[in-house]
Order: sequence, then C-alpha cells, then structure tokens
Amino acid sequence: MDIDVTQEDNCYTIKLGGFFDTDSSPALQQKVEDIMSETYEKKDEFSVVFDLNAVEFVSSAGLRVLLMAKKMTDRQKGKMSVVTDRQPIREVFNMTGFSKILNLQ
Amino acid sequence: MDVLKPDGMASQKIIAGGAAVLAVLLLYAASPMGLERLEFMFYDRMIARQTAWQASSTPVIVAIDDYSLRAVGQWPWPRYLWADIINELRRGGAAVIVLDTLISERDSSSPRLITNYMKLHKDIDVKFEGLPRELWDYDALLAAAVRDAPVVLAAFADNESDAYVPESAKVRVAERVSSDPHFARKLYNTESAVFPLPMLRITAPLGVMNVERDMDGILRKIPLVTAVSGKIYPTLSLRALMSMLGTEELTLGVGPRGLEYVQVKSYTIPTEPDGMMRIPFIGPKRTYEYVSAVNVLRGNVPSGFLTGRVVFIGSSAPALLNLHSTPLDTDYPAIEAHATAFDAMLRGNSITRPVNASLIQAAAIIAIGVISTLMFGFVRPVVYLPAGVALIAAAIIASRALFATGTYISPVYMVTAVIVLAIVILLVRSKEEEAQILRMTVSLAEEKARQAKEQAELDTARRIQENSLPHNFPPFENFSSIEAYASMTPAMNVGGDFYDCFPVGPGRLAVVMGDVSGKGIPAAMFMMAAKTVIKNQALLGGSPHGILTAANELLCQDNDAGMFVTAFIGIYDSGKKVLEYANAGHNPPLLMRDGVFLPVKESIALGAVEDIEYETETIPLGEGDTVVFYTDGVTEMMNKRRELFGEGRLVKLLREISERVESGGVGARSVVEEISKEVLIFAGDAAPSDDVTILALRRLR
Repeated sequence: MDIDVTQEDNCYTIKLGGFFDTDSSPALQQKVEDIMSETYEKKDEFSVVFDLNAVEFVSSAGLRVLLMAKKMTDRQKGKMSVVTDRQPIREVFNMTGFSKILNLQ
Repeated sequence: MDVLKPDGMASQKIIAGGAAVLAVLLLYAASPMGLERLEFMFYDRMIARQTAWQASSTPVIVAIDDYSLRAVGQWPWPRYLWADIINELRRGGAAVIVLDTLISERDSSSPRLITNYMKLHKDIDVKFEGLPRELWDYDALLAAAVRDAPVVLAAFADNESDAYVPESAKVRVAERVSSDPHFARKLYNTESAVFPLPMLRITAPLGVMNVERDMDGILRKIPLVTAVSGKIYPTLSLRALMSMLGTEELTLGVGPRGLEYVQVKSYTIPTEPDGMMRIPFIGPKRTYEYVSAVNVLRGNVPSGFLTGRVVFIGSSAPALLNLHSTPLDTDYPAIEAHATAFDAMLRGNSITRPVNASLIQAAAIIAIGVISTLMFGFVRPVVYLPAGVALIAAAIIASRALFATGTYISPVYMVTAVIVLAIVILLVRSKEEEAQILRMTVSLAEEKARQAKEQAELDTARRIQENSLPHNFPPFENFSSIEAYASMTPAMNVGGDFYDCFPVGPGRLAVVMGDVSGKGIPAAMFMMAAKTVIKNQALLGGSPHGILTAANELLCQDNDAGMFVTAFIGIYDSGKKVLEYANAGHNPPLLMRDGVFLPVKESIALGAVEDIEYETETIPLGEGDTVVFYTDGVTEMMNKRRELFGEGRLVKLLREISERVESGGVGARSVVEEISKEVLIFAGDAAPSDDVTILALRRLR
C-alpha cells in the first residue's frame, strides 16, 4: 500500500493507494499514531483527512485502523474525515455502517 | 576503488599496520642473520643477472697453478724464480705487475743465508763453487728485478701487535671534504700489517692484499682503502691503477657518514662509508685470461701478448688455499678478484648503495606500510591479492632497474614489509569478519526466535479460534426439521472469524456469524469476547436486534484499540417457520432458493460506537430452503491476478447448486463444502489472506 502524508498548518492529508488490508494496515497505524502524538503535544485543533480515492480494496483490518484514528481524534478534539468516490469502497463502508461513523465524503 | 566502508575496526587496523611497520623498521635496524641471508640471495641473483658488464682485456692473470707447482716443485719458490718471472714480464712489456703474495721474510734457501746459518748453528764453513755472483743472494736478485719493473707488492693488514708500520707507503693521500678527523676509524682498519722485505719496498709501491668475506663466507667486497694504524693504504688493484696512470696521489672523498669515493686522476670510484668496494663479478673463474706461471718462466708466452697489460700474479692452485666463494663461483682465486676489481675501476663500473640508502629504505618501508595497511585493510580480496603481488613485484623490479645503473637498494625489507603487513592486517581483518559473522549469526538467531515466538502466538490464536467453534452438527434435539453445517479454513495470519449455532428456547435455534477486525492474539481474544457476549445475550432471550444492541454496548467498553466485529444473528423459529435476523455490518447471507441476499438495513459493526439501535427483520423459510452465511473471506478471496472472488461469483455458484438441490437434493454439508472448494480453486496458488468461513442452514420439512 502507498501512504503519502502531507501537512498544511494543522490539516493532515493521508493519501492511500492500493490494497489496504491486514498486511499493510500496521504501517498506516504507525503513521496515525505518529500524527496523534504530534498533535497531542501541540494541543491545537486539527483535522485529518484520509483520501481513499486510489485505494482498490479495504479489509476489516483497514477499517479498524480508521476506527481507531476516529476514536483518537475525537478524544483530542480533532476532526477526521474519509474521502473516496470509488463505489466498491463506499459499499464496504456502507455495509459495515462505517460511513455513518467516519464522516464519509 | 572497491573500498569497504570504514567502521569501528578501521582504527584497529591502522594501529596494527603502524605497529607492523615499526616492527619491520626495527627488524631493518637489527638486520638479523636470516634476513641478511635473503639480502645476499637477492644481491647474488642480481649480480648473476647483470649483463651490462664486459671484461676488458687489460688484466691478465699469471697463475701459480697446479701445473706450475708440478713443473717447478717446492713451495714457496726460491726468489730467483720470482725474479725470473718479473724480468720475463717486464721484457714482455707488462704495464704493471701485481704480486699477490707476501714476501716478508728472507729466502732461507739463498746460498748467502745457508752459509751464514751453517756457520752460526753448526760451525761449518759452506763453500759454493762456481756460483755466479748474482745468485749469492736470491732476495737481492728479486729486489733488482722489482726495482727495474713496474711492480706492486702486497702487504697484509692484520692486528699482530709486533708487526711494524713503515713511514713511507709510496702513496700521498689527499683528503677532500673531510671535516672528520677520526674518519679513518670508520674505514676498514687494523693496528698493523705485515709488509714486504725493506729491500723490496724501498723501490716498489704497496697494495693491501686483504679481501673481505661476508657473514655467509662469500667474497663480495674488498677494502678499497685500509687504515693501518691510521695510515691509509690502497688495495692492490687500486694501487695497480695508480701505477698504470703513473701517479702516487690518491684523493679520498669523505662525507659525514664516512668515505664516499676515492679518486685517482680522472677515475672516481664510489665506495661504501667504510671504504669497501663491491666487486662487480662478471663470471666464474677464468673470466679473465690466465697464463700459467711456468710458461712465463720458460718464455712460452707469445711476443706482444703482455704488452701494455696489467699482470696479476697469484695462486690458483687449491693447495695454496687462496680461493674464495663469490656470488658466481665457489672457488674463485683471490688474484682474479683483484683483477676484477681493477678492471671495474678501469671501466667505471660500480655497485654502490646511495649515501642515504638507509633513509630511502626506511621511507620505502613506511610508504609500503601505509599502502599495505589501506590495501589489505579496506579493499576486497579480489583487489588486494593481485595488488599485493604487484607491490612485491614492483619492489623487486625497481631494485633490479636501479641495480642495472649500479645502485644497490635491497628489496628484501620492502618485500618483508608487504608480507608482514599482509599477515598482520589480514589477521585483524579475519577477526573482524569473524565478529561480523558472529553478529550476523546472533541477529539471525534472534530473528528466528522472534519468528518462532510470532508463530507460537499465531498458533495460540488459531487454537483459541478453532477450539471455540462447534465442530459437530448432530441433528439438534427437538430440531428434526432443520440441519446446519459450517466450516472455517483459517488463513496464515488467523483472521478472527467465528460462527455459532445453539438453541435459545423451545423451537428456536440461533445461528451467529462474525468477523473480528485485525489478526493474531488480540483478534482471537476479541473474537472470544464477542462470541461469548452474543451467546449470553441470545440465551437471555429477546429479539435479534436486542441481542446485538446489548452486545454492542458491552463490546464498546474499554475498547481503545478500535477493535470491532461484524456480526449477523439469525433465529429460526420452527413454529412460525421464519428466520428472524439482525445484522451488525456483516455480509448479508444468501437465500439459496432465489439466489438473493437477505434484505438488510445499513448497520454498524459491534464495538465501534456506542448507542446503536439494530433492527430485526423476518423472512419465511420454505421447505428445502437453505440460507448461506459467510464472511468476507469468501467474497474477498483473491487470486494471483489480484482479482476478487466477489459476490457475483458467489450468487452464480449458489444458483448452480440450488438447481441440483431441486433435482436430487443437496444437504447443508455439501453446500458448504462445494462453496469452500470453489473458493479455494479460485484462489489457486495465492495464499488466503483471510479466514474462509461458511455456514449453511437448511429447512428440511
């Protein structure tokens, strides 16, 4: 999986590409945890955007990382959203009900 | 260059290299016998290889050989024979006549001496009748011959305390550039010498006949000048040169380290600091022309043969014990060594070590040491092996090239430096490589241990998962109208799928299927928790949505890791013949009758967020209807081309199976097994990344 993190002020954009599954999700989890400890020290408001437009496949392990990120941003008073216009990916979010929790756009 | 990265061991190599260079320098200063022998070996080989030197025809050797001894008999010969030889040579036109024999005592066979001794010791008056006047005293006869001919007589420098040193040596020595009043002590020097009879030496000049043998007994040098009790005497050959050039003046070039050269007229002969001359041997004995002494005596020498030549008279007979080993021969007459030295002076050939040879050697050892340290320490073997050989070859070739120009710098210590450094640095290096291999072995072992631990964890997780799932599906008591079958094929990484099937009340059978996010022990633990919570809630009674809502609240507690589980619960009511069900984000099961998915509302997995209300839906199950539950391991099974099995394939497969059900009747078990088989065939060689779990529920009647 490709993970590309860009930061503009307090807005982090994480662009993901490829297969977002059991094997690749630990790498993303590490990135998320890094960002969270960074924002935790700043104590500022922030937002994290997951761009899943280039993702071909999301497994439950991938969803778990997004859910964990959601829980952490909520605790730190940040905002998190997931962006994708790929229909198969949206279906996974819809079926599991994550589209409701994760602010899918 | 192919240089390895310097590391922690670099300094160690450099220190070892420095120590090795120092050791070689000390070795050079000490010059132990073993290495000295090697030096001699190189030196002798270079002498043998030298082709630039050609013997001239100026020197000629008159040899007191075995033939002469047989013909004349008795040794030492009576002095009148010597006188005859010298006279013959003078008449033959010899330019210089060098006598390599010591004439220091009176000839006791002279009639004069016999008469005197007989009178003195025996009181007898001996009369010689008819004896010509000139044969009365043989020594006087020889003195007369010597007086009339250009003869050089031999003196032997030694340390006999009673030998005396005459004032006149028929040499005027001029020193040049000498600032050292004691430089004579640096020369080959003796306390005294054995000189020829006074009656001879008042007319003839003297040359020192000594030769010097090295520690290995080989003759390589002669003392060009010798200091006898502080007075300078030239060697026989040098004195011969002076006589030939008609001069008695010898100039010594003295530098800070000792003698650098001697000069006779325009001839400059370089020397070692101690006045030694290295003899440029050209070949074995008889490289120069030999004439037997007896042939000279008998006048058998062709006329003109001796004209203008420098004659060296000496013994070549082994019995006379004046033979030496040289680099090119094992019994080389001393007289020919003198002749060779003389000829080299005449031609201007020499072998010299530069004045600062020691400094050059030391600098070369250090330079080679630095190169070798870098080379053996930091370059790969493919490079340093040929480079090391090249370095040794370069030292030897350079020495040879220098030798051809008459300059001798031994390659022995440079070669020694390369070899010593190669050994030392490669030892350090091999230790380093050993350490590296050890480090690699250790980290490999650690990696193995880590993998084993991981594998053990996975095995544990798998056991938890497998042990918690029901494996036997006997006809459920009181449920003769329904059958169920399930299978789970765990993935390498252990997914976290689970299923369950248990009665929840009279005529009611619950079927649960779930899929926990993540893998390994955490997923297995969460799966256990989810399965237990759902079962407990189901056993409390209530509708499917109530069970899921309650389970969600419990699973949300203390769930920071974001673990969640998709779950589907269905309860078959055998009385109403309906399936009531609720979904929490799980894949909707398929009803085989129509090949359609059970309608489900959009819902959220358990454990993700609190306060979720789930909904119950109900469908009637007809006789023979089969509902297939599965996890995303089925639909998301991927083949080598990264294609997903997909819902489409699943629906199509179920339609095919249901056609057969209608025609012959297919049980829950064969439905599950067929799906499982097809999915695995689709995956082919690709390793399943998720558990494949399928459960079929079939109403029999």
